[in-house]
Amino acid sequence: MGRAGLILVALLGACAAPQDEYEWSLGEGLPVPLVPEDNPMSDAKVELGRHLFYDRRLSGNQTQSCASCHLQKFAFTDGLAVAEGSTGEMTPRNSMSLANVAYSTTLTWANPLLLDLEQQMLVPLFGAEPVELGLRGLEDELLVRLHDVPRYHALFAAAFPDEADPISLHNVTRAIACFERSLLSGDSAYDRFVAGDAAAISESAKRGAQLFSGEKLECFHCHAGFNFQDSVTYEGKPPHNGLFHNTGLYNIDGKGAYPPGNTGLHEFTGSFADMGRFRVPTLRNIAVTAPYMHDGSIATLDEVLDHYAAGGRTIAEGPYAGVGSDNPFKSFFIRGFELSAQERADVLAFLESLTDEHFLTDPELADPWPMP
Amino acid sequence: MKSISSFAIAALALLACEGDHDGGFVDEAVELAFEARVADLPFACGQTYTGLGNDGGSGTPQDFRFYVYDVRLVTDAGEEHPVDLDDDGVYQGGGVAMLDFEDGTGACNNGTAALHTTLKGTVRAQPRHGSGEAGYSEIRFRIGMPEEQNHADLTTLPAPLNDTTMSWTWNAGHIFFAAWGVFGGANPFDLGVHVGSTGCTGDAVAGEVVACSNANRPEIALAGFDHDTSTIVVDWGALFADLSLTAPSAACDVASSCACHSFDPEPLCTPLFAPLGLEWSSGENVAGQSLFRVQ
Repeated sequence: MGRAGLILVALLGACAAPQDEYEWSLGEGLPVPLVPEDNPMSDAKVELGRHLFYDRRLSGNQTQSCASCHLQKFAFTDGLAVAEGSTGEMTPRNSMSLANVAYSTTLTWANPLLLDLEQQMLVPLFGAEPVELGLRGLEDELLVRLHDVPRYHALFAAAFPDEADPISLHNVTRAIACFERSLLSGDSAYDRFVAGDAAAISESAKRGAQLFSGEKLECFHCHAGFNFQDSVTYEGKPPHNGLFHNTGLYNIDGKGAYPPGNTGLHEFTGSFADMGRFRVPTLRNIAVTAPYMHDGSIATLDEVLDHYAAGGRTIAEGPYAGVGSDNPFKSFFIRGFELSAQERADVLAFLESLTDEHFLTDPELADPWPMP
Repeated sequence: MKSISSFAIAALALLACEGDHDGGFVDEAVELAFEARVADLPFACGQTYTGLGNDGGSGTPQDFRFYVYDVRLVTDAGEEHPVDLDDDGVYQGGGVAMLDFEDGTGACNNGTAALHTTLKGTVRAQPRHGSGEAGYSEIRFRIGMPEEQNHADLTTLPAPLNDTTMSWTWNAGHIFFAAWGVFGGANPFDLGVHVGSTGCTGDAVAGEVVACSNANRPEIALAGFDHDTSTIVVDWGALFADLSLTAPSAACDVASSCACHSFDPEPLCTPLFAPLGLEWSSGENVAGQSLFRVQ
C-alpha cells in the first residue's frame, strides 16, 4: 500500500471511531475542558443530566431540584445571600455559579477535597449538615421514583447503552456531571471584543478592562485568564490545586478569625493560617450573580469595589466586628486603591460586559420538563 | 532435580491447606457477638437513662452505629490471626462491617428497624507460629475503614460502605462512628459525635485524596476474650461520661450544634474522643478506651 493509501486508512479510522464525539460549545475561545476518564461526555448523558438537574424527585420531600438554587437566569446561582435547603435549613454559604464549572480544579467555596463534580454533588444530595436536597438514606427510594417515570427509561438507556439496568445512583451522578460540564459561558460582549469586534463593548468598559488588568487594582492576579479565576484546568493545562485566598473580609479577634462555621480552608486543614481562605469564583456573568462573597454579605458590585479599595472590610459593630484590612492572613494583592468616580464606573462597565446573554437564555440549558 | 523441587513445593502447599497439624489452628467460621448497653442496662432506642455524664444527667439515644475492620483474634503467644469478614450484601462487605444498634424507634426515628450486632467471618489458621497449645484469648479490631475505601466514590462502593447516612460528603469520606442522644430532661438538647478522618489533603493531578493528618481510627484490644462464649459489650453511656448533660455546655453556644464533628469544637471533641482511646488533637490512639469490655 502506498503512502496515500495509508493516509486514507488513517482518515477512515478517525471518522469511524468516535461517532458520538461530543461537541463542546466553546464560544469565542474557551479551551477544551478535561473530563474524568470514566465519564466521557455524550449528548445523551447531557440530556439525561439536564432532566435530572431540573427534577424535584431528586430531593427527599420532592420540593427542590438542583435548579432550585442554580437558576439559569442568574448564571446558575439563586440571587440569595445563602441558600435554603429543602427542609428549610439555611446553608452557610452562597450558591456558586455553575458557569464554566467544568474548568474549576476544586469545587465549592473552600473544600480542597472535592475535585470532580461526580463527588461534589453528593454534598447537596445527601449532606445533613445542613440538609440541602435531603436524600440522606433515601437512595433506594430515589431509584424507585426514577423507575416510575417512563421518560427516564429511554433517557438512561440512551445515555448508558451498554448497561442492562442503567437506572443507578452511579449513573445519576455521572449524567448530572455531564450536564454541568456542558454549562459553558464564553459568548459575552467582552469575548466578542477580544475576538476582534472593537464595537462589542463601550469605551468605558475598555478603560475598565485596563484598570482590571493593571497593577493599581491587582484584580487579575486571582481573577486570572479566560475564566477570571486562577484555579482552572483544561486540555494542555494541568490542574494547579490549592489556590485559596483570604481577602480581609473579616478579622473578628484581631488575629484573623472568620465567623464560626465559615472559616474557609481552615475548616478542612485545621491550620489557623488557612483562616478565611476561599476559592476564587469566576467573574463571568458576575453582574447577575449578586449578592457576593462566600456568605453573600456584600449586596452590590459597587460595594465589592469598596471592600477591595479599602484593602479589606471594616465591620464597626456586632459579633463580627473587626478591621479586615489588618487580617494577618490576607492575600498580599489586597492592598487597597483609590478610584475616581469615572474609574469606578469604568470597572463596573467592564464587569457588566462579562454577562453572556445567550448563556442565560439558551433553551438547550433550560428546564426540559413540560410546565405543570 | 527440577521435578523434585516442584513436588516438594506441591507437598508444602498441601500441608498449608491442611492447616491443623503443626499449630493446632484451622480456618474457622466465627460469630463475634456485640451487645450495646448503657452501664449495666440494655441499650434501647426509646429508653431514657439516668445518671449519665459528669453531672448525673438523663438522656435517650438517637443513633448508635459504627464501622469495624481489621478484626483479629490473638493467641496467648501474641500472634494475630486475621478474621475475614463475610460479605452479606447489607452490613458486611469489602472487608468492613457496620454494627448497627438503633432500631428506628423513639428518638432514633431517622434510623431503620434492622440491626446488626454480630460479626460473621472466618478466622485464618495462618499465621500459626505460636505454641499450638492454647486457643485465642484476645480480640483486636479497628473502628472505621481503610483509607482507600474511605475516600472512594460512594456510588461505586459495596454495602455497607455506600450508606449515605454514614457518608461525610463535605469531608470526602465516611463517618466511622456515630453516637447521638437527646439530653437535658425538661430542656432537651441534642448532643453527639461523628468520628471520621480530618485534615485530609488531596492530589488534584492524581484525582485522589492521599493523606489525612488525623486518621481517627480507634484500635480496640480486648483481653480475656473467648470467641465461643464471650460477648463484646459496647457502652453508649460511657461515651458521654466526661460531659455536662443536665444543660448544654458553653461549647455548644459557639458551635452550630452541640456536637463534635471530629474537626471541632475542642471542648466537646476531647471528652468524646477519649472514651474511644483517641487523643483528639493528634488523632492518635492512646490507652484508656472505656467504651468496650468483654462480658
